[in-house]
Amino acid sequence: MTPSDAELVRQALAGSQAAYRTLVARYAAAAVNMAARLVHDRAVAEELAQDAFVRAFARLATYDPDRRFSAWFFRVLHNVVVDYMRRRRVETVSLDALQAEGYPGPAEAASSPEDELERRALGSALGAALSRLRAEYREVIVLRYQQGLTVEEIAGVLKLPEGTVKTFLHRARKELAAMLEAAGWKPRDR
Amino acid sequence: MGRWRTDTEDWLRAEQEGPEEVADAAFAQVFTALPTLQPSPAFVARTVEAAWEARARRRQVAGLAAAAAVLAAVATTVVLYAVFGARVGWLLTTIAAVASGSVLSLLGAALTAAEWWKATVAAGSTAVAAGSTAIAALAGPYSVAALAVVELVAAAALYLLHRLLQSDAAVRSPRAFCF
Repeated sequence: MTPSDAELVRQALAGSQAAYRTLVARYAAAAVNMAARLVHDRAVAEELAQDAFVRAFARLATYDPDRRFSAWFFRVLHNVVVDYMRRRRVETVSLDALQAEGYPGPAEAASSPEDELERRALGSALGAALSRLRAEYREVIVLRYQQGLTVEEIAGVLKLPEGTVKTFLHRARKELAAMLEAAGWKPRDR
Repeated sequence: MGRWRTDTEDWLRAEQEGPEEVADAAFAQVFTALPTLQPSPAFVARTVEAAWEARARRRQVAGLAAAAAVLAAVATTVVLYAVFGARVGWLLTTIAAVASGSVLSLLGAALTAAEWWKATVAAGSTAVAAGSTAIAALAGPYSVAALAVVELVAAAALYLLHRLLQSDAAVRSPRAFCF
């Protein structure tokens, strides 16, 4: 049986390195992806994700097992990324540029070559649009659609009112829609 | 027309016409087209190692800070006794009594303090007595040197405590854990 996050946290607090390793492995990809979406640099994203896990471990005792670990952890990661962005000016580069540098993409399910081509084109357009969004909008989009957090959890992570998160999500999607339409994804008349 | 274009067009229509929930669900589907990144194979092992190293460092700093604090307390006590002698004997006894939790010693110290107070008042003003004692004690080169040592030890203790409190800040530098 797969141990829950709360159980792994309990074991890690008791000194189990294996438990924390499992927890890190469980959220490593999510953490790196979220950081990469915000800082646009794979190496820095990995360092920030690592820093977040180290910081989370130091504060593991403050985690409330009644809440989702991901929401608590993303709050830590958010703080690490914000600290980094305050220290440095982060350039806006599409994530596709990371893959051009040899960064491996996702393991794709088998699909037709046409579908795969279309997915890549859409991913490229969406990635470019996302990188042009305001950082606040980009973060709520990533937390909602990449990490699957609820509006309430995002509000907890970003320390914003739920209404503000809903507004950010709505406006961010509208801006993305406008950018994708401008990039040639405008819906055709039925 | 492939499924990705269909999904995207459904989402864009939902943004224009549909309710928020429909647009939200449609965009969630479109979002899966984005490439996702996989951390490097060594990421997990490196991260766990860094977390354990950081914990060891925090414990080391905490131990050093505690040792420095004890050292400062002992040095302060010794210097106080050397400079003020029996005049602060009651204070040291009180501190020792509180530290050891001995009620009888505490009562004894209270009695000693009362006697000292009575003797001081009988001799004249308490303030004048304390002032002249302090001035006389501080005037000597040995006393000045002893107080300087105490201040240095206390400053070292405070610095180590500061390091302890800021240990997370040290961890913040992402480069600190690159192997």
